Amino acid sequence: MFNWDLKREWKEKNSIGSMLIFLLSTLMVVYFALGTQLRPGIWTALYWIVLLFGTSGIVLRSFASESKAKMLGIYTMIHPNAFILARILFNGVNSLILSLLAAFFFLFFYQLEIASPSTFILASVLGTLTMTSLLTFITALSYRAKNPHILSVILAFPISIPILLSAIQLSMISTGQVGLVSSLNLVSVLVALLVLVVVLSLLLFPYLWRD
Amino acid sequence: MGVFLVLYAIVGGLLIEVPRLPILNETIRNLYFHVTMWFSMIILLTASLVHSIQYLSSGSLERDTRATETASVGILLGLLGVITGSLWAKFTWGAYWVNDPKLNGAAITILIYLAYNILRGSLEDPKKRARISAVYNIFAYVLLIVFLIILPRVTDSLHPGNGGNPAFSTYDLDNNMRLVFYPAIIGWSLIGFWMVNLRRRLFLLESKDDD
Repeated sequence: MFNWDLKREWKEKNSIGSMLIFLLSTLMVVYFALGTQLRPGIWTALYWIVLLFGTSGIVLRSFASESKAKMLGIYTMIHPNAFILARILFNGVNSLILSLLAAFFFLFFYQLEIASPSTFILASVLGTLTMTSLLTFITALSYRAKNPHILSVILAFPISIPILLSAIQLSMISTGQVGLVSSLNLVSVLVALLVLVVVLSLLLFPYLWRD
Repeated sequence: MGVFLVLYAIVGGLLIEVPRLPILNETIRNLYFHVTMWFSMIILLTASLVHSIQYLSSGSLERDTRATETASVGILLGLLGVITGSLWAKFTWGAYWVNDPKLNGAAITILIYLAYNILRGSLEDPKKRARISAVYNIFAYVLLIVFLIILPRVTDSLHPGNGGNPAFSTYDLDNNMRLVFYPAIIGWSLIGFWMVNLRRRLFLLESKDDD
């Protein structure tokens, strides 16, 4: 299933291009509005805004490109858990690429002192992975209803706050800001959230599957 | 049966009226209302979760009705809790709303269950609606609880009991307050469950009318 997704993505090469254009246009706007100097707080805020909207774009696209007939074919072939797991993995890889690109371009255009690169990388990786798995599950859920695009945002926004909050705090710490809690705590919170989201998806997705 | 239930509710309501009688201007008395409302909200939302899980394992639509009605009454209690808390905050902190993790948690709780209602509104087939909203209910509840646990640890709170503010435990020796506090929680929860029951019966009558 994962391979199949990968192949499809390979066929539509424009997706990586659209990611790039999205990133660059955001940066352009930031550049025109704020100039060349950014405080770490604003840098982190923009970085996470880009990641949030970028990952939701990736997840929505992975579901939108499926036709009804194709879905029916998949339904009969594989186990629901295999499906959701493959989706999460696939979207996760895509989002990691996005976060890598985002970090690269942000650092390329804006000099930022990252006091602890390992913390920054952990924050980006764990934050995007957890966000993506949550978004994947919620989008799969809202694709059972009318106008899934709007619905998935409404449903995902309130429950994604804890993830965003800990990821942002962690990346703030990595830029040398003093946080209220140690980065180790935040990392363990993020790991726990990631595991929780994946386990819940595996437990609950079979119920969405039956139709 | 209906008369019996109403009678029960009047008696119940009067019984709960008792602890509320000694209202004076000491703000600590808000403990009886604000805090107990939140406790009962969590109890009701937990009941809603249990109903949702039962729905998924049994598939009876009655469980679904119970889950929804419990969730909406729980949110009503949550809103009342916000209002009482906000009035209290005006007198203690000088503002109706401050940037406090517990207040943010409250706002997010209400947002999640609004999203739950929107999800239900966008699905028409009752079986499908029941199944999908049950899945969302379980998913959101678990993440909400995690959030309510980690949030106060990640940020500092103005609430009594946090950051060195005097709190409930300071008054632990005062057993009279406990005598009122715990029955008040039970009282609010009972009123909540009574409302759930009424709403469920109303829903049943309405759906009979439709037939």
